[in-house]
Amino acid sequence: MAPSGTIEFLIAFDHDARTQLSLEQFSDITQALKAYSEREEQYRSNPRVEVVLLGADSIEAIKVTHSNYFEDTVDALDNLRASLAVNSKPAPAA
Amino acid sequence: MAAETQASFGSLGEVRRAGEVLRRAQAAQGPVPSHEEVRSARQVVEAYRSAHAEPLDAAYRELQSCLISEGLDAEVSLRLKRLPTIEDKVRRLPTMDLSTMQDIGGCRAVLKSQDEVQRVVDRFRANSLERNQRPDKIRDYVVQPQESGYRAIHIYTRFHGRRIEVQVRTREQDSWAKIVEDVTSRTGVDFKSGDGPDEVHDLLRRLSELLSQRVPGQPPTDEPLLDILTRLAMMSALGHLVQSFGRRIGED
Repeated sequence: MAPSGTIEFLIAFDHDARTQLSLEQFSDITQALKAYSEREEQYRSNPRVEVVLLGADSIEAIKVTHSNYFEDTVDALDNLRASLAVNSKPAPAA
Repeated sequence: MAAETQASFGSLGEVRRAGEVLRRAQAAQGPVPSHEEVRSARQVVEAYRSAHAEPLDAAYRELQSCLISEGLDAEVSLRLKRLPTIEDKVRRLPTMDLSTMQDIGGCRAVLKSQDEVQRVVDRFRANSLERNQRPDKIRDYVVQPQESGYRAIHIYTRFHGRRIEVQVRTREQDSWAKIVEDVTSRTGVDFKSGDGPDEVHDLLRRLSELLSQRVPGQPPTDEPLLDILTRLAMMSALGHLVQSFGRRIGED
């Protein structure tokens, strides 16, 4: 397979604990595919763990496009609320 | 090279049949396949998915090239569809032919405005037409949003004979999609696939509308929008509580 600059990131993310169980990096797509298969098999019986193979030029790009798989990024809901709340009056009591 | 990675999927007919086996295995409708049949079908599906890797990378490179040509800065990434998601899709859509599934390989670009999105889409389509001598299929979910509220422009293209999905979104559209995933993640309910209470889907739909109406540079105060987000956060927290509570009860 022709080499490419794209880096493959194999992530196993536990949605219950909201933590990243593993993050593996590959520059060789064949190895990435093999690991994808193994990791999926490993977590097959646990539907709350998501195994996903993503690719980009850098980990920074993935942290932007797929921030939901990283613990240290604020999730989108909180992010948007925070950016709107900064200039908002406090919400009236329900 | 390990034997598994060399596994071939044979013909598209074999891929289609593998999809049918997995559908029967999940739906328990019709003859339930044996473990061996399911294992074999999964290997075929994996091999078929693997065959999308290199074409997907080519599509990703082309998308980046379009951005550069337009002088645009954006984050681009690619993703090979998860096996559970493939199996789930085959189960949910009884007429889905796995060999024609369009989004096994997908890449995505997030731009600053709808105008930038359109420029990238136009350029990608033009290059594609020249390369493939046939037009890509476009799904404009901005002009006609999905029922869920999903908005984006999708290009269904081919690279090296494989179908590849290209999603081009604005930041607001991407933000919305991430929020749907967040709510799904927090509650354990697959809102992305349409599961879950209507109340939440109504909120998400309304959220998408409000976000689409925002003008770039608009001041960030937005009471209706903030209100919806607060409700979603509350419902997600409730959903998360119910989920973990239910599990604890189950453990007794």
